[in-house]
Amino acid sequence: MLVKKLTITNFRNYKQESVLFCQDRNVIIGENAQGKTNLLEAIEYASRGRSYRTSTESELIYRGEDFAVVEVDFVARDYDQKIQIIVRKKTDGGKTASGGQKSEKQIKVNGVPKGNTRGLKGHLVTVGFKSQDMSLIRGGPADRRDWIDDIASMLSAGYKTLLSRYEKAVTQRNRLLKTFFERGHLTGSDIDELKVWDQQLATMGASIIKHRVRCLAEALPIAQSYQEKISGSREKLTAQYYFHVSSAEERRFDDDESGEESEPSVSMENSDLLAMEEREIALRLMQLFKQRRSDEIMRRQTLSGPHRDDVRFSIDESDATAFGSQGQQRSLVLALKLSELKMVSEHLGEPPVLMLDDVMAELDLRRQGFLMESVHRDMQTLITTTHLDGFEKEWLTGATLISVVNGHVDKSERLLPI
Amino acid sequence: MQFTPPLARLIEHFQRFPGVGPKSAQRMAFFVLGMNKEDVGKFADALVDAKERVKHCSRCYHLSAQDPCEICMSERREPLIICVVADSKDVIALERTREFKGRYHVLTGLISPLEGKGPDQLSIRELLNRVHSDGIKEVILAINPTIEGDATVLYLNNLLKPLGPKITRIAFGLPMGSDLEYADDVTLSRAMEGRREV
Repeated sequence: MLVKKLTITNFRNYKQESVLFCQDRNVIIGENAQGKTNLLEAIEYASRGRSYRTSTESELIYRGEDFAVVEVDFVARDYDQKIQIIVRKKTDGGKTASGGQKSEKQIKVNGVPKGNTRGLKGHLVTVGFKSQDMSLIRGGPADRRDWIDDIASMLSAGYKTLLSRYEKAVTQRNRLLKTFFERGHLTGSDIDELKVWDQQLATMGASIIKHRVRCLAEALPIAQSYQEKISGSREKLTAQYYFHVSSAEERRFDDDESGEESEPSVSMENSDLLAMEEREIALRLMQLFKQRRSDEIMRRQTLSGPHRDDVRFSIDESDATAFGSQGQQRSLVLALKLSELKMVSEHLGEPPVLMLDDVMAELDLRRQGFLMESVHRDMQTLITTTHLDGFEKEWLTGATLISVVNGHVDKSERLLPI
Repeated sequence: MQFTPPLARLIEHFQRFPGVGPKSAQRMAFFVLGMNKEDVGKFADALVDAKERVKHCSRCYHLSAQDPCEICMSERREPLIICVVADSKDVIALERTREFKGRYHVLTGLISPLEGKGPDQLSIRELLNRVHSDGIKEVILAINPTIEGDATVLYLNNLLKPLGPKITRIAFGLPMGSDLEYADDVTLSRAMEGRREV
């Protein structure tokens, strides 16, 4: 895939700008707060219909204006395509939940209007690596679930629907738990009713877990080989799928000496889960629901299931989140992102557009070198940076250098061999 | 300047209807003002009459002015097959097909804790009684494939199984005369699951 041209009007700090990109390496250079990332944000916005930087889309509009336009000309599946998105502030002046101004958008793909952002799916695919991605390791379980869910929904068409049905069922079940809590006592028919939701969550949950574990099994060997290369074969990466256990429960584990027999195991080897039938996983979930029933009612929350699960990464058998050094965590995220890139490429049958937002700051020279090396020459790369020091001369030769100053593309030039 | 109280009151009443916003309510109210007095009287009578006479059938909970309802009273209906639906509207939809010759049971909703609906708010106990005392042979669940519908089906299945009737659920798949290519992924995979020999 190839982004040829980006045209933006009233987008962030740009009044009106048109940027041409070359087919391989594009370096967007500029000082802080000039608008480098805004260019990448605009492309990602065209690709997904939402921004990773804000949920209030009126923030995308240049201050004092009523609308913004993003237009991307790109080549995918060997033909020229175009995505256009117009964001307008709503005139009735309603506010979003977070207090921002409401907006509406119009999406067109190749001139065809699309009713919603789902219509954008699969047209322009980008994979990014930005400093926020460090939350994959440093952040909470939700960040890791999002990552694996993203990959799973790419690989399997029905996964998104499954996930949203599951979430609805969790909401219903939590409400039921709350009713029980408020009423204070349980009758036999209450238990029957709760069981129905247990059954639903267990069936759908098992299917979600199975999808995730399969994804992990596919991504892990790729990530491992990257990790090995980055670390010079010194570090071994492993991943484990965790059934969630509340902290109260964990404490009980520690206190209870005979706990090993009475409680089910909470972390599972990927290979074990992979070998398990969906039905077995569902049974196990049913068990968990049953065991924690009183706890769940006390807390009015569904405590087990894929919406609480986690994927933990370990380096040489010690947990990367807790014990990994900064450098180890960075290379781990890099390895995971590169494996995602590879899976996306294979799935699409062509490489996606790679967007690297100020990542050089996160990596040491050796890892920078490795990243540059692993970026295929035939993959279009857009990278933002404040300076060119970290780049190898050879890599820069033939690249397009785009300088950004205060909401303008100052100049765009191709670097010639020196 | 606001509408004079009698008119404002009428608009408010219309606005309480499902799917009616302030603008539509206004249009309806103005339409009523434009009607002749006799028609307005008939309309008011119809409202009161419907409210007074239409009740849930004491056997199947279908809405009817008769108790038991026409379907429960009909002797041409197969008495040992019950089709369970969420709502009276579903009975009418199924009746249009003229395919089903058994009787119905209307649950008056689906299990949904968010809306404060549990099994006790639905006519589930009555269904169990019917199945048990009438010796029902087959229970057909014609219930929407939503989260709430699935939960209700599971609940009914758990309770009905021990009573012995055959329990079936209607098939899900493509609408007739539609195109495969326009079907969404989930419908299509459900249709695949529910395939049968030709």
